[in-house]
Amino acid sequence: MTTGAQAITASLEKHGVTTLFGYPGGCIMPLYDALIEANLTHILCRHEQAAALAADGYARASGKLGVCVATSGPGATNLVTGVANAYMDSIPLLVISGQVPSGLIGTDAFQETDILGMTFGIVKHSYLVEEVNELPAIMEDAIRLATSGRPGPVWLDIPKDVLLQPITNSQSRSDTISEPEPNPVDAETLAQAFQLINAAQRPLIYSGGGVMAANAEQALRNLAEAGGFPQVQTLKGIGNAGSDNGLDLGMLGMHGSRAANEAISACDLLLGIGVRFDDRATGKIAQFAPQAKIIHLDADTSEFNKLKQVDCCLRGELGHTLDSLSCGLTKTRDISEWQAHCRTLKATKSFHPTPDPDEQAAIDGPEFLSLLSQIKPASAVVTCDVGQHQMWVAQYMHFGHPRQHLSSGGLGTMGFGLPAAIGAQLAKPDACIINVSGDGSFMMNMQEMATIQRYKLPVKIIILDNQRLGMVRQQQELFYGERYSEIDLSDNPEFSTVAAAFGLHALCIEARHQMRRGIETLFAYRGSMLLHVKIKENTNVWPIVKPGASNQEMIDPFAVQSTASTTIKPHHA
Amino acid sequence: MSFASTLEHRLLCQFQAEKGSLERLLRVIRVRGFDVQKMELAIKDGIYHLEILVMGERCIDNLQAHVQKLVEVIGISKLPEVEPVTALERCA
Ligand SMILES: Cc1ncc(C[n+]2csc(CCOP(=O)(O)OP(=O)(O)O)c2C)c(N)n1
Repeated sequence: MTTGAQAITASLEKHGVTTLFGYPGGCIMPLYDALIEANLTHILCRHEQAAALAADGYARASGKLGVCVATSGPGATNLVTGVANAYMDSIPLLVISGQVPSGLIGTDAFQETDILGMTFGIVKHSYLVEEVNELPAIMEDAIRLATSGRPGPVWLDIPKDVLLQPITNSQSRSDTISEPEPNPVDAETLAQAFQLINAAQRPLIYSGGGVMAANAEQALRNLAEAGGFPQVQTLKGIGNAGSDNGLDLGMLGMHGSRAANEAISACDLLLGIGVRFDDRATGKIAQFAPQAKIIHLDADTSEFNKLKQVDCCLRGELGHTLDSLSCGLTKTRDISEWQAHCRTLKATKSFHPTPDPDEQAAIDGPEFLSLLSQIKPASAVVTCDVGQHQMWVAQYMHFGHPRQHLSSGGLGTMGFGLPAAIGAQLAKPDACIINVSGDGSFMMNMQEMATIQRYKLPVKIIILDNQRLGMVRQQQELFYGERYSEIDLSDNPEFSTVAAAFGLHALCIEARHQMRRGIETLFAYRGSMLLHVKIKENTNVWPIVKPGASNQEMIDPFAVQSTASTTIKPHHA
Repeated sequence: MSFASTLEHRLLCQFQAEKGSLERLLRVIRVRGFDVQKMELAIKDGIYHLEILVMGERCIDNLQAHVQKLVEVIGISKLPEVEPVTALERCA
C-alpha cells in the first residue's frame, strides 16, 4: 500500500520532477526513506537555506519547478530565507517540510515550530496536511499553483504520522483550488492601448522579471521590433532585450544607467511589461516617468495601480498580450528622432569602463567584469550575490537571455549566488555556470563548496574581494558622513586555502595584467574552480540614487555636463 | 500615495474554511495598510462568511485585489454604508 511519503515521490515523478534539494531530519525521515526507491535525484546541500536557494536557482535557470525538502523546526526555519527569496522574485518552488506528529502539534514538542503561521507572508499558498488521503490531490494543487499564473512558492507542512500512513482512499478534495484563467485582454482595453501607442512620440518599454516568468522574451522582442521601441529593464529584466540591441538602454533605477533613467524622464509613453514599479527601479515614485502615459501589462491584477496610477491595464498571460499588441500595431508615428536620441543616450550615457593604463595597477571591479563578459561563453549563466559586485554585473556584463542572469532582486539575499549556481548547474549540466560573489556574501553559504565537490559540479566561482561590505561602506561614505560602522572584512580567511580544503582548485589574482590569464584559466580548468580576485578596496557603484530620491537626482561623479545628474566628489583611495 | 484618502470600508468576504485561511486574510489586511475595526465571522458548509470594517489611508481597491489573490478567497466585495446585516444572515 502507498504511504503518504510514497504518494509525494510518485506525484513528483509524475510531474516530471527529476531533482530535489534538501536535508534530512526526524520528522521528514519517512520521505527520505521513500526517496531510496524513488526515481528522483536528491541533492544534499549543507544548509537548508542553501537547499531552498539551490531549488530557486534550478527553477530560474530551467523555467521548471524547483523542489526543496527539510525537517521540522530548525530545518523548516532555515528554509525561510530561501523561500522568501523565491516569493519576492515569483519563482515556482515546491517546499516540503516535515512536522511533528499530528497529536503533538500545539504541545511545544521537540522540533515543533508553527511553520505554516510563520510563513504566510512569503508563500503563494501553503498547506498543513492533516489527512493522508488528501495528499495526492494537495500535491496536484500545489504543483499547479506554484507554476501557474504568477508563479511562486507553495509550502506543504506534513506531520510525520501523515507521511507514514497508508493511503486507503485517495480523495479528490471537494474544494480543489483553481486559479481563474486570465481572460484574454478585451478588445476595448486593447484598442485603448493602441490609441495611446499611436499617439506617442517618445514611447519606451520598461520590462521586468514577469517576462522571464512567462517565457515571453521573444514576444517582447517582437513588439519592440515591430514598434521600433527603445527599451530599459529592471535588474530582473536584464537579458529581456537580447544581445546587440542598439535601442536597449540597459538597467534603470538606483544603479541604472544615466541613459535609462534619462529616457524614463523624457518618454511620453511607458509600456511597463511584467514589472511592479519597485522602489529600487522607480526612485521617488511621484517623479517617475513624469511626462508619460503608462500602459501596464501583467499577469497579476494586484500589481495594477499599486504604486503608480496607470492609464491602461492589460491583464493576462504576458506572451499572449504582447502578441496581441505586436499583431495589432498599425502605423505608429514617426519616432525616428526619439530613436536617434536614445541611440545617442546609449552611446554616451551607458556603461563603459575606463581602463587604467597601468598594467600593474590594482584590479577595478567593473573593468574585470567587462572583460569577463567578453571572454565568457555566450551561453554562460551568471549567478550573483548581493552588493556592489551584483550591480557591476548588471551594469557591465551582457546577457542574451534573462535566464542567463540570476540575481536576487526583490529580497537581495546575500548568499544566494553559490547555491543558485549549484541549482543552475544541475538544471543545465552542460552549461558554463559562473558565480560572481563578494567577500561578504560568499561567506554566507560557502559551506556549499562541499556540495559542489560531492556532486562534481563544474561551477566557476569568482570572489570580488574588496575586504569590505562594499555596498554598505559606499552608503556610509555617501549618506552617513563617512562614519564607517562594521564594514571591515580585512581579516577574511585566505579564500584559496579554504577552497583547497574543500578539494577545489583555486587561483588568486590582484593586478590588472593578471585578469585575462585568470579568467582564461578559470574557463580552461575542467571542473570547479575558485578565482579569488583582489580588487580596489574603495571603488563605488556609479551612478547612485539616494534611497527615497528621484531618479533624476542620480549622483555620478563621472557625469560630464549632465543636467540631470548631481555632481559630487569621487572617492579616491 | 497621492490617490489615497482616510476612510473606513465595509467589506464582505467569502473564503474556504481551511487551516490558517482566516489568519492569511487578516495578515493581508494588516500588511497592506489597514486596521480592523470590527468583524463578524460565520461558517456554513465549509465556507467562511466574513463581514469586516477596516480603516486605512491606502486605496481600498488595492486591498481588494490583494485579498482576491489569496487562493482560498472565493469573493470579496465592498458594502455600501448601510446598517450592517449579520454575516450569518447573508449566508442564509
Ligand atoms: C542576508 C543579508 N544580510 C545583509 C544584507 C545587507 N547588505 C547588502 S549589500 C551588503 C554588503 C555585501 O558585501 P559583499 O558581499 O562583500 O559585496 P560588495 O558590496 O563588497 O561587492 C550587505 C551587508 C543583505 N543584502 N543580505
